[in-house]
Amino acid sequence: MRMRKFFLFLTLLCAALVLVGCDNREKLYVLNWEEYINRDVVRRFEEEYNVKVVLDTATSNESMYNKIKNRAGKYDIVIPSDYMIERMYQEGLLIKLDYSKIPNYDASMFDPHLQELRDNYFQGNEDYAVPYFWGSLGIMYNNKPGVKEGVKELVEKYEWRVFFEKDLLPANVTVGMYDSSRDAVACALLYLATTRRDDDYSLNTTNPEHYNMVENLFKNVSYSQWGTDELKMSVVSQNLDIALVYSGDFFDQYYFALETGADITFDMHMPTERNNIWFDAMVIPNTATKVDLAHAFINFFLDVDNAIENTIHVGYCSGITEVIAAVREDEEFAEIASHPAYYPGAVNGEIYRHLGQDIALRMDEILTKAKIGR
Amino acid sequence: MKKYSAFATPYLIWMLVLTVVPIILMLALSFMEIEGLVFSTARFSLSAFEKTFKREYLIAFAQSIKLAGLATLFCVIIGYPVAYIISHLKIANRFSFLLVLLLPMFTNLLLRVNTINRLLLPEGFMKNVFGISLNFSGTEAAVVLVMVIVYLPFMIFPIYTVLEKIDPSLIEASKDLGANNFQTFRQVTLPLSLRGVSSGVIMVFLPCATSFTIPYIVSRGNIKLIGNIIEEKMGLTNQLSDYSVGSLISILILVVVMGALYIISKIDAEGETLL
Amino acid sequence: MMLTPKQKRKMIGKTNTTLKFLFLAIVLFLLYFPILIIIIQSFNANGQGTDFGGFTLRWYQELFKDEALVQAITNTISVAVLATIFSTVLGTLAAIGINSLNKKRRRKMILLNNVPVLNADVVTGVSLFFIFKFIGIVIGNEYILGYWTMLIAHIFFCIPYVVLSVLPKLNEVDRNLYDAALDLGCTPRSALTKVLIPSISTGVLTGMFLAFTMSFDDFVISYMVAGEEVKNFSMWIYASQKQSGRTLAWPKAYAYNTIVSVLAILILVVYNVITARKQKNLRKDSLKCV
Repeated sequence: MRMRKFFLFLTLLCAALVLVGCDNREKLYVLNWEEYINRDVVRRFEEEYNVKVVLDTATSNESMYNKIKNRAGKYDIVIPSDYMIERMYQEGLLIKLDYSKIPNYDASMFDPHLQELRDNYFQGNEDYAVPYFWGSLGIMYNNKPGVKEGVKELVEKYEWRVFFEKDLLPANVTVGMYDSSRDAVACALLYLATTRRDDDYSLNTTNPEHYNMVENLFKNVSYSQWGTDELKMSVVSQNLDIALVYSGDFFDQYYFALETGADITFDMHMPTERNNIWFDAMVIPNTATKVDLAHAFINFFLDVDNAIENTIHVGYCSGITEVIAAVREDEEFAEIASHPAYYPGAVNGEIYRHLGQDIALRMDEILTKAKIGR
Repeated sequence: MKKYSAFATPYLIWMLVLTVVPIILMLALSFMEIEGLVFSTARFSLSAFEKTFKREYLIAFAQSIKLAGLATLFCVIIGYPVAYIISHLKIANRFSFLLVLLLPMFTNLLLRVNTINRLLLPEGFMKNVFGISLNFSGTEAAVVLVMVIVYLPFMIFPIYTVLEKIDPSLIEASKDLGANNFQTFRQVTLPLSLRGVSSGVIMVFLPCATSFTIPYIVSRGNIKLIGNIIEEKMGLTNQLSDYSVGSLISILILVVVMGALYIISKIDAEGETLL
Repeated sequence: MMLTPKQKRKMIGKTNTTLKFLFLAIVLFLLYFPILIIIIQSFNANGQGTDFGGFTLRWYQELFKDEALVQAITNTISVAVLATIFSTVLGTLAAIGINSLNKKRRRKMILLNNVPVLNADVVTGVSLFFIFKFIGIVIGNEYILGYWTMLIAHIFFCIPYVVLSVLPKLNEVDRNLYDAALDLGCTPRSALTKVLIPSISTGVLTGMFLAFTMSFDDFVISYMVAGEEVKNFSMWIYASQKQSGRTLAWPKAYAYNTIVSVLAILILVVYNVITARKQKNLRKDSLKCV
């Protein structure tokens, strides 16, 4: 009998725990990249609108696409990158934005380079996506004095070659590659473009020969680590010497090191001759159930003060001109913002386009082949 | 007692719905070409077969078998003696001693794997506190090591259970009949304990072969085993999902598992002593 | 100095014992070293865990301040407890049912029962994902994945373990025990609850323990069926892998884990003390008879 009472008590306790976790506020579901939003700003939004924001994360555009296409969740806001937005738009997965509900939006508020990208992007992109952060690819490296000397010089001299020509590097220098089909393939194409100079090697090439060449490149090299956010952390902890990263990855680690007062033993080089330039944007997928609230959320993050707070926490470069200027003038962040890799507009960057399912699968195949059988 | 056979019926229905129906669904998906999970776009196709029996996946499959096999082998080599020693300990609560060995199982798997992985990296706690700098992470051997550390208790437990049940008078009789320790072990204990060993082998081999967290974390993203491929095809990684191929591979694994179950049911007629 | 055969055997015996203990010690070390590191790191003032920065209790406090983490832990515990209770009750009843079947049907039921146990986590998770999604579409709620699907999934994979623990015990129990109870005047119901179930109680307890362990530490299946909002502790850790050290996820996780390990050890010690005392009392009582 005592057992029965005990179990009854346990069941009630659990029921209580479950109920306590219940929230009666309206919920807004956001699908974002890891550590890509300032939670304090989100909290202010929650308070102002008396709602709860549920932040879910994905580690790649393909993963976000999987979730939206397969309707895995009732996401109201997704923050994918350019080419994935193009794909979602083509497949009818996005809801057109009603700018009357986004008063903070002003067609001229974005950086001119970014605006040029938008103007030349797929027809109607401005009706569906509001830019969030932008950047390029970069090569993050470990330059701890006395331990890893010379890595900086190697990276600056050889740029994309460090990923594919192992004999250029001393034996104790370890290299990591980004675990995303599109970006890994892009790195290879950038390498081919800057070393061979016999063809264009566009990042949006549809030439199967190019993809065969990329596949061969990966077959003949091996990396110490394949990862996404893990790469930047490995470089910081000195378990990796060179890694392909997104430009903002460096800055978010840099801010963190400043906050904790740790020594800064890493840096990033942003090749300018040829690079990829990208922008992420807020979109409303067709899985959204709170469309008006989603518009309010987008509007909230277009407010300049909120955007400034967001950008200094996340580290990436904001798309809003006023925000970039504010960061450059702020005494605390001016030094960081003057880093050559901070402003993506300085690169000769090519933006990704959606190339169709077949090429997307081919890129996935290259990534799989690069790893299997090691 | 016969009256209670009715209790089994709801369970039968429950298991049919949650085990058999998904299998049928996955079989159906294996023969389809479909956009995501939108069934209106489904068409009959054998393309999943073509995509699954590619060279890379077969290599991944072979590598999964190899690493899981090695891990299982080490688990047997280490686990059997441990179970044997504990079952022969002359202390009052042997079972508690066993539970002590199993306590690490209560630590979250991902937490344990990440922690061990960090210990195997050149820079970090191991180097700064103990002065030991290993560069072991990222290798196949590291993956096998972590598999052993994580799954060893799963090997020890079934072997111990079976060894405990061996009637001590059998051992006594063997000794009385003139056999020495080694002969007794080989002719009496070992054959009787094989059931436990086969349980243990299955409880270790299958999770190891289909694991995706351990290979990904410990190999630093380098090794892709069959578990990682399923994970990828089911839309849980950075690559595009393909439910047809994922379903097909899952069905194939299920077939292998059913095969193992069939083998168990032949060795152990009642098929009940899995634990 | 020549040793007598007896002395020789004693020496071999002693080295044997030392070797045995050494071996056990090495294996224990192998299994426990990560746990020790986790415990040390939970008190490490250096939140990144790269070096020992001094002793602190900070992470134990931060643990409770982190809303998302507390929610994840609550989910893990409530699901584990509920799943254990339900699966134990349902599993015991199912085992009793299976036990009463004829040999052929019994074998088939056991085969079916063992499928989730042996099937790869990934495949079970995927199966459940599909079936839940399918049911969701049929009943008109396509976003069905959440806390309840996670709970049902846990009950689903825990019941087989309970069945596997109870069935052998049912076998051992005298087949006539139940009928004897009826003969002696029990109603069928109290024959079940007061005679049969207590006789298989060790099996039920083992099943309960197994069910709890499997549910508490589950990752893959929860990951696939919990949906976009609900997280359990394993899923929380999985997400933390991708975060920079800024979120200080790891030291908090280590703190939580240390608490769990200490609790588990305490329960083990208490259990030992209780059984030892029971045995002592039994011996005392049996001596009284003499």
